[in-house]
Order: sequence, then C-alpha cells, then structure tokens
Amino acid sequence: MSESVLVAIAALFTTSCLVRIAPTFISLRIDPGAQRYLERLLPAAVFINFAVYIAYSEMVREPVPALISLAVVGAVALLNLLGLIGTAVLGITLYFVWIGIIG
Amino acid sequence: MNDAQPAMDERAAPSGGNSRVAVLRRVAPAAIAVMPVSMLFGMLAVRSDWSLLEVVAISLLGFSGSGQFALLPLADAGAGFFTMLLVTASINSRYLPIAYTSAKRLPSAASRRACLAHMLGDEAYATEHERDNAASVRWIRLTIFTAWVLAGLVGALLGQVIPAAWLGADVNLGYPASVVLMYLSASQLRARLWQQGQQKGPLLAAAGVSAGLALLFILWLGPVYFWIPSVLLATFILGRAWS
Repeated sequence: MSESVLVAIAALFTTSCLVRIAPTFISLRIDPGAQRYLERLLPAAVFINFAVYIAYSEMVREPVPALISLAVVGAVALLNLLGLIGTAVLGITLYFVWIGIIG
Repeated sequence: MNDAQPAMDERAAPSGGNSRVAVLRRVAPAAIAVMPVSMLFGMLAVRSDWSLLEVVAISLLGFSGSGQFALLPLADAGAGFFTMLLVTASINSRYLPIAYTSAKRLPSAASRRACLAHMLGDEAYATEHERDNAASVRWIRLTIFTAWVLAGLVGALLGQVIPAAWLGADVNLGYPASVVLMYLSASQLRARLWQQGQQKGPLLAAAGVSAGLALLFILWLGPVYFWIPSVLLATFILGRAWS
C-alpha cells in the first residue's frame, strides 16, 4: 500500500471511531423531556437536514430534474402513496426523462 | 404495491417485522441503491492508481461514501493525516447524534457493539426502526456494509478493464442512492412527527422552517460544516412546536 492511501485509511477509520463508535459507549442519565428530544426530535431534525442536503447536492448538478424528481419522491413518501421500490423507479425515471427533455 | 410501506411506518410495523427475511426485504432496496456509488468510487480509485487491496481496505475501515470520495484527491495530493481527519470528521460529524440515538438498539457486548457502530450509515439509520432489536440492526447494517464493500471491489475490477473515456460520461450514478435516502428520510419524518394527539400544522410549519434554515446554513457554511448547527437549531424549533 502506498503511504498516502494508508494515511487516508487511517484518517477515515479514526473518524469512524470518533463519530460512530465512541458515542455508542457514552451513556447519559436524562429526564423524559430530554429523552423525547434525543429519541424523536433530534432524529427528525437529522432527517430534515438529510432531505435538504440531498436536494441541495443534486440540484447543484441538475437543478430542474432533481427538484421535480425529489419533490415528487418526498411527497409520495410523506403521503404514504407508494412503497420504496415504486417510488425509487418513479423518481429515477422522472430525473432522467427531465434531463433528456432539457438536454 | 407499497413495497416498503409497513417497514417505513413504525406505528404500523407488522409483528413479523423483525424476522430475518422481513429485515432483508426491508434493507435490500437501500443496499442495492448504494452499490452504484461504491462501484463508482472503486473505478475512480483504480484510475488514481489505488490497488484492489487499498479499495477494499478503505471500504472496510472507512465505510463512508462522501468521506472516501473526498479523500481521493487529498491522497493524490499527499495531504497529511490531520488534514484528512479534519475533512472526514467534518463530513461525518452528522453521525455523532445518529450514533448516540441509535446506540440502544445495539448489542451490549463491546466488540459487537463497536463493529455494528462502525457499520452505521445514512441508509442503515433511515431503514432501522426504533423497535428493531439487535439482530435486526445487525442484518440491516451488515447487508448494506457488505454491499458497499463488494460493490467497491467490483467497481475497482471494472475500472481496470473499462476504457477511461467511459468513466467521463456525465451519468449521475449516485442519483438512485439520493432518491432512496430522500424516500427514507421523508418516511422517517412521517413516522416520528405525525403521531396521534399531535397537531400536524405547527409541526409541519416547524419542519418547513427548519428545512429553510438548513438551506441557509448550507449556503452560509457550506455542505460540510452546516450539519451540527443546523441539526441543533432544527431540534430546538421542532421542540417548540411539539405539543
């Protein structure tokens, strides 16, 4: 292995230890109110940020196709209209069809 | 057909939702969706003169899509350990709250707990339920992790035989993963926020405000550094709207 790749692997593994492994060994005594924050509101906040981050990342690349496709996917999921596979096929098809239309 | 509807809605989770087959059916779409991304990483890494062993090693020990892609040019440029650590820790800082909140689903044995914690990814977290037991979490994370590593290897092998010009084609191989993650995120929001007894109006408004602020944070701090302040502010806003 080259030294630069070894350094890269070490950096990523150290990151994993810091942000994924270490937090699972830390236990805090928390009251029910704080527990609600940790178990329901904090994850919800993370997922809101996930959604925005995904939309932003894709819209930087293909603004209109990504906006239309991801808006449809998000709405379908929120309204519980279709399952994951069906929605994924719909979203991906919309994206590439719009890219074809726009050129 | 609602392929994953029962799996996505925790309130409606079937009693057999923790069986191995049910869990594998639930995780399969997410595992398939991450494969093109990992394959693309493998192809690009081989193009940067990484060996097959190096591709597999970073997939196994790093297991981070954005982190792995970010390190490709840094490794090429010969960046130092702490530079790389700063970049990858910033990119993956979102895992801090995710790892903490999902820790109770992990086994208590330290080695297994550490291994499964290492296999935590966005897609796994979005696929898991609050009521999943340790065995279900193990299958979910192991399936996505294995798919990621194997796809990286396949991508590296393909990168050795596919002409370089093909990889320059402007095809967004990562888009299926984005679609799956968007679906899972929206489904998780529905399951966590739309509970009986909760007024939907204020929560929807709070979610909308949080999303708008997240976009502002991205534009202000960039897509790497916005996570922690934006997630904390969204948590506060949602907490104010929770009746």
